[in-house]
Amino acid sequence: MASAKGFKNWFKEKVWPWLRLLPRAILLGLFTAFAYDYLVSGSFKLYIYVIGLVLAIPGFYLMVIFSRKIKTWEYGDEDVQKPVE
Amino acid sequence: MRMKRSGAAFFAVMAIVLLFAAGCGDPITRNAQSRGRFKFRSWLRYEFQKVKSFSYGESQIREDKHVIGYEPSWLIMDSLYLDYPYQLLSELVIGEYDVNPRTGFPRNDSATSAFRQKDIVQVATAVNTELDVLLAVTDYGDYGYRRELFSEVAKKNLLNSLDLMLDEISGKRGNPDREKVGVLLDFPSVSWNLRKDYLEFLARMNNDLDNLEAGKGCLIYSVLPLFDTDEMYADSLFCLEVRKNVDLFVLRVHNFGKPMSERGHGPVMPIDWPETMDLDSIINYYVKTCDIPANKIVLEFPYYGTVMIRDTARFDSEPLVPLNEIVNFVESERSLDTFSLSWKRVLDTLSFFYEDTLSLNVKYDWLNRKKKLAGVGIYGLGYGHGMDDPLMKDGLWAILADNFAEPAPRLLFIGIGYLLAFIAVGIVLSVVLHWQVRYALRATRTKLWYYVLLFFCLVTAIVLCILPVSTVPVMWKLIALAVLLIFPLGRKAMKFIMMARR
Repeated sequence: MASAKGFKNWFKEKVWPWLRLLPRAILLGLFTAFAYDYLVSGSFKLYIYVIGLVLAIPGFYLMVIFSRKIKTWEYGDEDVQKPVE
Repeated sequence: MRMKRSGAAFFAVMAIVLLFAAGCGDPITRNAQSRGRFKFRSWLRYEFQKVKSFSYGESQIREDKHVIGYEPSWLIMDSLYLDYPYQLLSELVIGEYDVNPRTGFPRNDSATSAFRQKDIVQVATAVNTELDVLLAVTDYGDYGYRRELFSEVAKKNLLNSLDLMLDEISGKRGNPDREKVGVLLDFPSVSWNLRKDYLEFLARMNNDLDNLEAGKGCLIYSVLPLFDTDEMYADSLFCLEVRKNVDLFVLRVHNFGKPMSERGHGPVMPIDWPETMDLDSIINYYVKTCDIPANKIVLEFPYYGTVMIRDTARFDSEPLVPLNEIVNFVESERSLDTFSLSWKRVLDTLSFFYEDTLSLNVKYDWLNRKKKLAGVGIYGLGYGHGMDDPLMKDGLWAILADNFAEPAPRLLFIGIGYLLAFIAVGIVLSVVLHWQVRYALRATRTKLWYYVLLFFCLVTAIVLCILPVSTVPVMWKLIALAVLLIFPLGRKAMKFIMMARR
């Protein structure tokens, strides 16, 4: 029971915040693939959508990680409150 | 902290691996026979090789060019069409609807319905979804003297039959609307006396069959006479009316096996023929005198040769010999016929004249680069199929690709650009989402300049990646990526690594 609860907590804290971003990554991949297919290729090609998804999913996470990493680089790891101006 | 860093590194490595995997899955190598590392190697070779060196299987016809493949009904019935690389055709002509001028119905039902008995339309459009399928409509005027082109009843029957058949062809290619289908009109019977009838018929055909409001499209291509003896097309009003109703003109530079004149031997009208009519003067006549745009004219070449007795006497019974039969069965040394610039093989008293990849390539290059014509037509695709000589077997398609096709898009650098775009957006997002970054940039001006420079370098690298290989060569792309990314990202990465060590 304890391990199940531990797993649930771990999933909720560690995995779920990343997993909930997945639909956005998939939508972005499909959208960019459609844009390429429509504007450049000119006709429906399934492989464009496959490549779009395959690239967009890691790309999306790369984008999120990079933006958070910049925050860490510039301000450290502390979870500080925004100063009142 | 360490977990987060290793997670970021894991995602970065995964992204690179997936990028390569995506490249392996693209159509460039999909048709390759080899698998595994050979497939990977051939994909890499394709991505990094020079622009012009590509095999025809990986290319597609340029948008402004036409390559029309004509497959007569008897070749359709032989089922030779199953292996053609249809991606190298922009139009496929299937035939033939040979009109009975009295009734308007076809004179040979089995020839007309060859596409029903065989699955050529389904096979061709499955390989090339953009392929236009045309039905050849012929009226050779061998029905005796006519006062009019077609009677009213014949016109109605003909247009109704064509309407139904085009619907059927469109249905076979799976289109809900009728599109990407049409007719190729070959009416050598039209003379000066019948020119008004022909114009009226063309206008009516355009009106009845090409009615987009009713969801019925129809491409109308027309065969131009090689020798416009009546100078019909020189009549500007006639030519203007024809141009209004015809999408593309096909000029046959062959004569169905018969030599072009008593002096000519080859199956094709020579480009330059001193003292008599040649291809150059015919094209100049249509383009300059008749004012037909060069990009609306296609030259049709045959995949057959001619046979003569001792070079000069006509071999009347069967003047047309398929190219594959000449190459496979006439076992003699070839020599160049300097008069027609076609090849000759001699067997006993018979001389076979034919065009091969070398002589056809010269003509394709000439019509494409010098005359700026719309493209080529190939009569009898099946006649050029199944040759034992490997150079001829693939060469006929390869010269079409060399002249009228372009390589399939390369996706490696587009993929790299796509991933870099995520990093560039990540920089913008970090400023938009996190007040910490905004405060830090406001406080330290050097940081602000660093991020602006990093963003600029990334955007430049993305643009260089996305531009085609013909504009920015592969080597330039690699150098630009190294310069634009290693300097700003490398500085940050080194700092990051040093921090991790501490």
